[in-house]
Amino acid sequence: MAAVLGISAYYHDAAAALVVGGRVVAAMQEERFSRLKNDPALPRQAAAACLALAGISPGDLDAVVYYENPYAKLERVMTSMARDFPRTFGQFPRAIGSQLGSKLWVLDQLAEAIGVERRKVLFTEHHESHAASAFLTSPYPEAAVLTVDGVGEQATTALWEGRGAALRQLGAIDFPHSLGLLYAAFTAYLGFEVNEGEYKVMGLAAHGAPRFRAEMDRVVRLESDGSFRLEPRFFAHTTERDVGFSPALEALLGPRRPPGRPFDLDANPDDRRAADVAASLQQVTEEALLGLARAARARTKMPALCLAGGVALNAVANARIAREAGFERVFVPPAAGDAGGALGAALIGARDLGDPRPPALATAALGEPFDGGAAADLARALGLTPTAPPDPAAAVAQRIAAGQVVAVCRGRFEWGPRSLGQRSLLADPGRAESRERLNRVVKQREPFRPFAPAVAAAAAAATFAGTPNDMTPFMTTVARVAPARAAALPAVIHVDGTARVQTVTADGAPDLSTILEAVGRETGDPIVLNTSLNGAGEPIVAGPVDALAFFLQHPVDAMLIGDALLERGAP
Amino acid sequence: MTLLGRLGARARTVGGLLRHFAHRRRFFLVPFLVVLLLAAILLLASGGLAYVAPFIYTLF
Amino acid sequence: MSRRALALRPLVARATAGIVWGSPRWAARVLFSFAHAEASSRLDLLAAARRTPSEARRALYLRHALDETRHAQLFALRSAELRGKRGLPPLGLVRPDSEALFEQLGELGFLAFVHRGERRGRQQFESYRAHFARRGDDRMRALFDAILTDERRHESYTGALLEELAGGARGARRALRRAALWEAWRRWRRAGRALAGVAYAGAMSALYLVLAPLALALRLRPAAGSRWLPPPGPSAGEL
Repeated sequence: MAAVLGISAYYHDAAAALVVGGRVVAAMQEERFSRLKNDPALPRQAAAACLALAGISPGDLDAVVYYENPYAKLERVMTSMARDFPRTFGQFPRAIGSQLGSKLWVLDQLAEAIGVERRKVLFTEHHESHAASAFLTSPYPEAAVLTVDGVGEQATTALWEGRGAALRQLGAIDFPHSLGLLYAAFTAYLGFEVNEGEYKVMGLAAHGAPRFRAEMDRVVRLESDGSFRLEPRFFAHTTERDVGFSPALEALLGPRRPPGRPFDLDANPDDRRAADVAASLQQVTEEALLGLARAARARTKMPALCLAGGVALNAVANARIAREAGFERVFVPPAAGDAGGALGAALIGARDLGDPRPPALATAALGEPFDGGAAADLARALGLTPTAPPDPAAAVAQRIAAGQVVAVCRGRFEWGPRSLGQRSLLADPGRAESRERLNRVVKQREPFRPFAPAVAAAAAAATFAGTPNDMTPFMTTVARVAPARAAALPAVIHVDGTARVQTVTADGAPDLSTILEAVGRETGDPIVLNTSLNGAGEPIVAGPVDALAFFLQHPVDAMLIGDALLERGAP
Repeated sequence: MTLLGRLGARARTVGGLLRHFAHRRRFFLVPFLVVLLLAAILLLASGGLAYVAPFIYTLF
Repeated sequence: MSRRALALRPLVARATAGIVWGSPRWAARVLFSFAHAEASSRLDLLAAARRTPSEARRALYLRHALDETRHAQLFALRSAELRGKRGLPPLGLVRPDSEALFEQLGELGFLAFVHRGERRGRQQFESYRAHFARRGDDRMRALFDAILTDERRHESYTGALLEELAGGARGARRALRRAALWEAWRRWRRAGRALAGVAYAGAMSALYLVLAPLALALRLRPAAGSRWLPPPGPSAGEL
């Protein structure tokens, strides 16, 4: 029975994950501790928290596995710098300095930071880490596995065949042909922050029409074998520090949208054009992914598909793959991006040390538990008055039914970018004003950003087509809302008639399940609006300090901290 | 970690690096690797410069 | 622009106020750097709130962190307004950094550092407030007025806490001296790193030219074939 710690770091979303005896014990992103969004730094705090949760010390670890090959990564940076000579002149000192200054020595730094012998620190391959994070946590004994991201060591896309605990790579697409970098370049073009704004592009796309599809076909070519190629002259991954696109892209599509300018889709024609560009990008991305998935189906003949890599966070595309690629079942883990690589690396390490494959992931609640007692003490020290309702779930449900916005902090925080009931903001999905208030006042987001529903799994099918399925417990897909139900859920239906729904069971999210039961008793409909508990530009709340800071800073009506309730304006 | 431990770890990494590039397909990158080793020495030296450079600056 | 570059002594701040605030574009950059400094301070204070063993101090640090959040928002907003008047987009998201000061310095050292920072910030903002009052710029004066109310409170409570933790005024002075020495050493190292960075970039640029023959060699090599789904053959075995 081995104890293996997996680590992802230095690019974005550093994380640590612990697997003991083949079971996933803990998995956490560093940003939850450092409070720096998408923190890429070595995940010291996350690693320490994983070990503390398991009650083991660094000396008890059998291996620490880093999620990619630092030597192969250096090789790719070297060849990229040389291949694009002399245009890489500006980037060269920084790129090489970054590799030689820290990234090449990551295995040594991990040994020192965690306190293990250097010989125990190993590495795996980037896309294999992604593949393992999806397949080895899926409910499938065998599956095709597609990993699609910006770039790993060299590959940007890979197809795998998963059987039992084994993964065999069948093919790959290499840098610079990358759907992740395509989406990132357009995220920057549309004026959003890369690695943070991709969700916004996806949300914006639904407000536009794909009238730039012909131009997009010049930027990315979809091949008949399911692969794709980017046209290099539109991109500048190795030569431009801040944006991944070249002046040729602006010549093709018009000037980039200035970053930071507020959106006004109704009045500003430039913003409507941006929405159309986003829609065109989303369409071509979906078709590229569909091509890959169909090729995977044809090659592997497997009934199930697992998806991972940053591009697998595109829930709209995932829904299309599930409908059209020919697979019976599709699974996307809750942390499909680089953070998930930490878990994949740990699982590979555990497997190679002889431990069995873990059971299918039933919950994303793999973080630190919330200390309700400490939160209540801090609340009192801040002059607040926490109360102890006899039935916390009912207390939350009553307030939601009354139109209030209620924050919930209970249990272990979620693994991945979605709030799934442990650190959530809940509201009535039947009131359009919930959405307006949450977007403008509480979360201060762009007006076109949609909100998502959480529904009791047993009641999901009546409202959301094709649910529950393997992706819906983790909110990694969207579903069409039944037209007869649309009028009842204005706050959670996106402009295209879909919703990124979470189906909730007692196993997956016990606290939210109890709240939904109570909501069902109050309103007859066990559905809530569920959005992440974080302010603009901040990571999701983790512990009592973050929770109380959020409550004091944002105008929510109430917050459940463990079993205690805080209410705005209470004496 | 002791200094000896750190040196041992570095040596392990350098060994891994050399093993990775000691591959027929990658031989042509060896001159670049030499350039990088020079860069690494430069980084080390300039890292050390971080302690003395302001002194030099204030002198000159 | 970082808070380090703008950690001007009050006299220097007064002397340079006309230059610093003379140009709206430059003023917007200065305000953005203040926003960055406040946001970074917020991170350090939240970390202190998590790590301190005292419930009372946890609440104090948290309140202080919330004030810094508000200050960061005020400065960023004003920066964006000044830029907007010139038809320029905002300077982007404020991306704070953290030095894990509480971890590095311990609680006493952290308090001493924060107290010194608050005192310096208060003095600097008072000179800017006076500058805008003389110029009749009520908006900017009001901005600094709002922030100064908090800065004075921060300076006061951190001073009181420092004395309490250090066991009296003498211990507090000792802690402040240690903090001053640490800050001086930090400034020295940062200046050194900046200069070393320039030297490194220059030398690397020269080394870059060595890449030319390699670049040529790469272009002459036949391109690697596609690795996407070669025709299925006998099983390649597991990875």
